[in-house]
Amino acid sequence: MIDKIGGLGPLRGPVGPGLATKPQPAEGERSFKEILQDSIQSVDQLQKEADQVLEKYTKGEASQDQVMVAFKKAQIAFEAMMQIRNKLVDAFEEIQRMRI
Amino acid sequence: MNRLFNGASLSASEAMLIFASNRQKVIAGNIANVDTAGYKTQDLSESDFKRQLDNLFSSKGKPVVIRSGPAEDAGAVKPNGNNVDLDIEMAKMARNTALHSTAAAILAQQFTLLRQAIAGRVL
Amino acid sequence: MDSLEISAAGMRAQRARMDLIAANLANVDTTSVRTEMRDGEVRHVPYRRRIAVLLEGANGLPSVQVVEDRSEFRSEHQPGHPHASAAGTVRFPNVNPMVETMEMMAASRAYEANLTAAEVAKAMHQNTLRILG
Repeated sequence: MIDKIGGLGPLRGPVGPGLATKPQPAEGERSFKEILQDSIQSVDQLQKEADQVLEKYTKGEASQDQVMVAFKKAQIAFEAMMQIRNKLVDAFEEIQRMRI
Repeated sequence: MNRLFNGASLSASEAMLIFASNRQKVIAGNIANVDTAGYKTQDLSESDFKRQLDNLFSSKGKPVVIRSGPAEDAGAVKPNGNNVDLDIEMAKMARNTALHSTAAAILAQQFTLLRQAIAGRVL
Repeated sequence: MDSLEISAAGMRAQRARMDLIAANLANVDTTSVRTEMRDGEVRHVPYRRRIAVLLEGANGLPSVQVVEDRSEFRSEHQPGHPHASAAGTVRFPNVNPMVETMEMMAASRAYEANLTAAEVAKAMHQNTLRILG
């Protein structure tokens, strides 16, 4: 039946009624989950670095500029992570609505 | 998200802010008394402060009392018994101001991040 | 008592000092502020230098004491001078303009330092308030 209509194009993975499938990302793409995990790692890393720069500053081994930059980086990474997380939540909620 | 916020940076910045604020008062006293007969330059103990910061950065909770007393970097004693060196105090005040503004900036930023986490969005 | 009050007290002390120096400089040639009897003769008494001595007062703040400089007056032989003695000597104030100028520079510098400290205290206060922002 589908063949007669034609023009649907190739579908990836097994299809058919009753088969629950998870959409597989293409090679080279990452899942949303992985992107969020990477950004959390990066926030954690940058905050550790900011801690270290502050400690150096108190010992006179880093400048005030270096401290400011380190903390700003950590802040921006955190804000980016929040945005990613919020987009994920929005996308999830939209999918939930579609299922209904 | 096991460690979202800089526990060490937050408490270290608070300690820096308090130390800088207290030290400013002592320096103001030295400058006001630059010509007072017999007056000896006062200061807060930098080594006590360093020990406090070391404790905070290595997460040892022990509180450290920062003592005040005769300054280690006082000037020469003048004929009237006073040993305040205005150049030394002005330089110390400049360093202290930088410490205060750094700590204040970090604290302001850390609190903003905390509020964003609570609100669940970027403020 | 906060940092601002301390610096204000310092500024007041240095201002009092500068006022005295200004009075000394203004009177560097005042050969007669009053007369006195001396050795049966009416003599003119010149202006006597005054200095500000800063002592530790209450709350660790400086307090100013005005003290007269008891050093000798400078005597010159000027028989025609209106304030000359019978012997023709005139006594001049024990004020050295160079010394007063140096003192004025020192007092002025100390005053500025106190002012800077007051400004720093205000800026720190503002910065701290901004943390609550």
